Amino acid sequence: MSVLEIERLTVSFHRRDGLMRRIAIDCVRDISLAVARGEVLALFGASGAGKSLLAHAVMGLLPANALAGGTMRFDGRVLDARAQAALRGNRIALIPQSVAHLDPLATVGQQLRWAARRARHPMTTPGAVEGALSRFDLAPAVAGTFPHTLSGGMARRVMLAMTTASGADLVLADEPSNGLDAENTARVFRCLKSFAEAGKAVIVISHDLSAALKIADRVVLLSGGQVAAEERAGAFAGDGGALSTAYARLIWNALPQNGFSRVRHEA
Amino acid sequence: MRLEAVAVGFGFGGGTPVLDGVDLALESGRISGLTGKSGRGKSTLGKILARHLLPTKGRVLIDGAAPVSSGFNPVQLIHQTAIFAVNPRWKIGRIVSEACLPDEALMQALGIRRQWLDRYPHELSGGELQRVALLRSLTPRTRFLIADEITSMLDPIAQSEIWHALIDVSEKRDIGILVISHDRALLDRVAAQTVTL
Amino acid sequence: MTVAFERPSETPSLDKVGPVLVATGIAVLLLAAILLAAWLTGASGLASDLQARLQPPSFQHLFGTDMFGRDVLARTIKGLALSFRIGFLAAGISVIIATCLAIVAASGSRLADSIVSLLTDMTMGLPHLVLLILISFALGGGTTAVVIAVAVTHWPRLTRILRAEILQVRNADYVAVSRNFGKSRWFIARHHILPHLIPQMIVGFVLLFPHAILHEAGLTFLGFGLEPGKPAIGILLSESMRYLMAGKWWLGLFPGFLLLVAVLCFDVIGNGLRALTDPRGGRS
Repeated sequence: MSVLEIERLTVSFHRRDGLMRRIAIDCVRDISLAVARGEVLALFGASGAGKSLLAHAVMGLLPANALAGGTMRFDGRVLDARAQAALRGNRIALIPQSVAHLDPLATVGQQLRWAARRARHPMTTPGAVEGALSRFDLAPAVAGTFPHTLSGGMARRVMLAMTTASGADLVLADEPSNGLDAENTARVFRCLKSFAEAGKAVIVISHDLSAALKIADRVVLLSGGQVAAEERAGAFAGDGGALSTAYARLIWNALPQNGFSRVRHEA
Repeated sequence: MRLEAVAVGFGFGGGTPVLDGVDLALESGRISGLTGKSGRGKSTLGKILARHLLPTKGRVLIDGAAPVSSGFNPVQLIHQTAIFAVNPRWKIGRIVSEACLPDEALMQALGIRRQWLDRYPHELSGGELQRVALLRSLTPRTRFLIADEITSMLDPIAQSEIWHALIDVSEKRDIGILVISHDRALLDRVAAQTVTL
Repeated sequence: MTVAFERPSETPSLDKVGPVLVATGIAVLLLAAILLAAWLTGASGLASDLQARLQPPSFQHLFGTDMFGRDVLARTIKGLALSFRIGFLAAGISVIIATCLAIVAASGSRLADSIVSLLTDMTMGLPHLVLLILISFALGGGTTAVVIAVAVTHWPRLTRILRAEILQVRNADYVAVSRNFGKSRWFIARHHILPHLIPQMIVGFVLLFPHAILHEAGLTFLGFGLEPGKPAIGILLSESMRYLMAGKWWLGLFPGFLLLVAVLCFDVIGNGLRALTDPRGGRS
C-alpha cells in the first residue's frame, strides 16, 4: 500500500506585475504520484522543474506566498497542515541539501539525540549514538564534533543517521549527491537503498539521472512543473527501447554516456 | 593562440592555498576538459584564467606574453548559474549586446528566440539564460571560453543542444574551450583531452 | 477535488498597495494645499487681532484663534509649509551625504571603509535628540541650523544600506563579466551600480522626510530650533501647552493632528516604495 499519495498537486506563486496587476504563476501543475513501502522513487528534473517545491509541499514547508492545491494522503489519511506539523521529523523526514541545515552550535551526538527525542524514541542506552553513527560508516569520535568540521559527504551521512534515529516511514532526500564525489555518492545512495530495504518509502530528488537510476525502482520525470513521464528504472537501458514515453527516450538518449543526441526541444 | 597558466597559485592569508603551482595550457580551436574532486580549485583556476581573479603566485600568459590588464579580454568565463551572471534590471536584448551586437547566425545556432530579447532575466528558464550568457560572451574577439559546469543544472536535452552548438562554434571560429565538469561522460564526449586537478 | 491545505495567498510585502495609494493621495493633496495656501495667503491671517483672543473654532476661524487673536488655521498652514521645506532640504542633504559616504566606503579602500563605519556607528550610537540639540545650539539656532542639524544626524542608516548595495553589485558576476569586456569603471558605475542605487535613494528620501519634519518640530518645541517669531509647528505646539490646562484644546489639537497625518502618510509611502522597488520581493 502506498505510504504517500499525491493527487493533482498544484503550487503557484503570486507576484505583482507592475503596480496594480497580480498574477499567479503555477510552478507545479497537476502532479499525481504515489510511493509505497520498500520502494525508491526518483524524482528527476532540471533546476526549475519543481522538484524541491514538491518536496517542500509534502513537508508543509512552502514559503508564505505560495498557494498549494490538490490532495495528499499519508498512510491513507489526508495530509493537511496540522498533520504535516505532527508527522514532520518523526514519520516524514527530509534530508536537506547542505550542512547549513545542521545546527552549527551543537555537536553531532547532541543533534542525533534531539532527532531521536523529537520522534519519541529517545537514545538512552549508552553507545546508542555511536551505534547509529557506525551504521553510516562514521567513527564514534564524530559524535563529539561540530558540523563545520565535517566534509560534505560526512554531513550528508550524519543527516541520514538523524533520519534513521527518527524512525521515519517516508524519507525525502533532496539532491543527495550534490557536491559529493563518486565514492561518497555511492555510500549515501547505499544508505538510502537500505532505508527502502528496511521497509521505508524513499523519494530521491535528483538532477543526475544516471546516479539516481542506480537505486531507484521507479522514476518520475518532471519538466516545467509537470509530470512529463513515469518509467520503471529498469527500462532505462540500451537505446531506451523499453521506455514507454518519447520524452523519457529523448532524455535518456541525450545523456553524454548514451547517444548525446542532438534534438530540437521545443519547450 | 595559446592560453597558459604557469605555476599558478592562489590562497587566502596563511591557510593552505586553494591552488599551488598549477600548469595548464589551452589552444584556440581545441576543447579541453578539467575535472577533479570538489574543493580542488577547479573554479578558482577558471576564474584566474579568465582574469576574474588575480593569482597570488605564477602568471597567466597569452601566446607567451603577459596580456594587458584592462580592456577587452579574449578569455571569457561562463558561470554555472546564469541568473547571477546577468544584471537583473537589464533586458535580455541589452544583456546580449553589452560587448557588441550579437551575430544572427550564432543566435540561431544557440537556439535563442527573438522574443526573449524584450524580457527580463527572471522571465527565462535557467537553460534559456545560459544560452543568452553564451551569446553575450561569443564576440568576434573572443578566443577562449572557460565553461565552469555550465550545463550541470540543466536537463540532458538542453545540455546536449548547448554542447553541440559550442563544438560547432569552436571549430568555425577557432575558439578554445576549457570544460570544467565533474561529469566524466560529458568530458569524454566533448573534450579532446582532460586534465585532472 | 478537495483542497486539503491552503496557505495565505498574498505576497506579504507587495500586497499593501492600497494603503500606499491612499497615503500618496492624502500626502499629495496635503502638500499641494498647504504650499498653495501658504503662498496665496502671504502674511495675511498672521496678524494679531486682540479683540478676538483665544476663540474656539468657528466658521470665521476654523481652527480657532490663539492668545494674540491670530488665526490658528493660517498659522498651521504656514507652519506645515515651513516644516515641509525644512524637511525636504534636510532629507535631501541627508541622502546626498549618505550617498557620498557610501561610495567612499565601498570604493575599495579599507581605511576609508573603517572611517565611514566608525562615523556611522558614532552617529547611530548617540541619542538622536541630544545630538540635534547640540548641533543646533552650537550653530546658534534658526532655520539653517535646524536644517544642518537634522541633515547631519539622519544619514547613517541609509549609508549602511547603500554601502551594502554597492558592495553586493560590485562583486556580482555580471560586473566581473562587464569588466572583462573592457568596460570602464565609469560605465560599470553608471549602468550596473547606479540603477540599483536610485530606488534605494528615493525610498531613503521618502522615509527620511517625515523623520526630518518630526525632529524639526521636536527641536523647535524644546526651544532649540526655529526662532519663536516663526509660525513653526513646534512653536505652535509649545505655545499651546500653556493654554491646554485652561481648556483651549484647539491650539494644540489641529496643528498636532495635521503634523501626525503628514508624517504617517510619508512613512507609509516610504515603506510601500521599499517593498515595491525590491527586485527580490514577490519574485520566486
